[in-house]
Amino acid sequence: MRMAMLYQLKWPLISLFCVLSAPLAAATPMPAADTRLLAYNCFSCHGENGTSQGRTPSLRGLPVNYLELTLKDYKAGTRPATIMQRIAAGLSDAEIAAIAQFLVSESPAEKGE
Amino acid sequence: MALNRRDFLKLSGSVAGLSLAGCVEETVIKPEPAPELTSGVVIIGGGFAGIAAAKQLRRHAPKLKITLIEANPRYIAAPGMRWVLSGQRSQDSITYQYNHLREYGIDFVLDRAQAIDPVAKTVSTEGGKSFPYDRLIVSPGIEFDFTAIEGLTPEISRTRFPHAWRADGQIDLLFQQIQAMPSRGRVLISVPPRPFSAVDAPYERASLIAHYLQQHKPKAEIVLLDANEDFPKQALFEASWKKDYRRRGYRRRSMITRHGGANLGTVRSVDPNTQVVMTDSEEFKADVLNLIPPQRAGKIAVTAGLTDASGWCPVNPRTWESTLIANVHVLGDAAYPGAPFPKTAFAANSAAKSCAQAIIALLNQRTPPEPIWINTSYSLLSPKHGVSEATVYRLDAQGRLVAMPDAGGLSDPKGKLALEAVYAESWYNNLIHETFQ
Repeated sequence: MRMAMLYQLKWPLISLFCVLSAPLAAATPMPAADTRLLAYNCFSCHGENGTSQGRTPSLRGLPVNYLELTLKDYKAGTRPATIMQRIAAGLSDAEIAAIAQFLVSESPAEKGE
Repeated sequence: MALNRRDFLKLSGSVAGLSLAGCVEETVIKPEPAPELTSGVVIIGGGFAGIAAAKQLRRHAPKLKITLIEANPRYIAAPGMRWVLSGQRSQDSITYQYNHLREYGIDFVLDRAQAIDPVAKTVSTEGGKSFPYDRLIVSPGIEFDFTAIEGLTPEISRTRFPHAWRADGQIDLLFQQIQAMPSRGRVLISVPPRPFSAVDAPYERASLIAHYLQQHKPKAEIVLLDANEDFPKQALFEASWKKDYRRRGYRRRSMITRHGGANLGTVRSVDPNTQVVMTDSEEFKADVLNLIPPQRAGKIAVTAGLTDASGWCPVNPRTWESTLIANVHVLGDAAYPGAPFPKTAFAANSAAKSCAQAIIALLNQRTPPEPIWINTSYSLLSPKHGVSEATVYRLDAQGRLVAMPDAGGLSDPKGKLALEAVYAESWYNNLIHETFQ
């Protein structure tokens, strides 16, 4: 009996929540985070300046479009991952593009020395 | 390949001229602070937060005077303690030194900060020195409230009932006690009320001790006395305790029993002679007592007036500047940025990076860049099985720190837990390399 009542209540509550939260979310978009701060967070797991000291993949030397596509696939949940889907879900597409650009500029394939 | 100091600075040098898609004007930072600033930045505390801040400041301000004051010549990295308990590492192998800081042009001072004068903007030390600052970073970590457990003293804690927490080490002592206890012995872990540092560590510790006991003393048991009703990654841990660590001779019981909540789980007293601890409702006798006392911000933060009634240091999360004392920033376990923020090495590192950027912006009279923080927390369910929790934090429109509701979360329990254990080690290696190389 209780469950049935709860079930009846649930859907109107959820739709009410959607109605209330959608315009709220649209009204307060979060500004883009600083690209360097974004990328420096990557380095904590993927190695300082993108050179990993362990089994986490190095980011150094990866092509910009590969980095961008991979992050977007993680975000969409279409690329298998242990943890990256959960992190990429917190990034906007513009931030992903900026991170990819930044990583390539900060950690080029060849150091030239 | 390890990156040397020259590479580090060369790479950072390229930042200033870089034009980035999606960046607003104020995120382009001049590489140096204004010339009239000569005192520079002083940092109290050489843990994960303090060193990350120092290196990040150096990365973007090649000529800034940076001084780091630390009371100990060595640092035992708490995130590495899990592998001491799993028998894979020694305490020595997770102990690091500060020699590398000089290579980055960071003045390392082996001394204990004693007082802060926020008017004269100086830090004085036990060694009788005084260090002027333009901006000060205080990252002293936590301090224990030993008085919360009757019968416990710092001396008894150190020699008999090790907390084996933070950089004090003692993890080798705890492991030796477990190795030496009777085969049907009992290990007792007391968990203080939140907030405390490394909030999932007591539960991971229970798992790893259970793994050891399963191999060597399968009739032994672990009791967790937990002052908190619930705990992080609870479903993942409890499923593993039930499934992976069954107690020999019992069909349904785990080797690990937890008593949670203020009444059932808060340890009020310990008798060093009988090794009996009391909660409000029960008493427990144990062979090994891992008593982790309640925690608050490190002593210098309290002395300097940076803490509020909670015992932690309120800060503005945009800059991590104290809301109580101007020009003083607080990082790491001691800080409270207005909302729950994990007291982990990883989160401390993330906050230190944004704080350093904010300080450089403030020294140059610029707007601090828009921050973002990530915490990635790995826990081992066994030496070869790991789970993780990720959280992405930003500021909302009112400047409050918020965890993004649509991002982050826990590992899928049916996911690749063996791979996560491998990544946990890589996570550690990279964080250590970034901090101590």
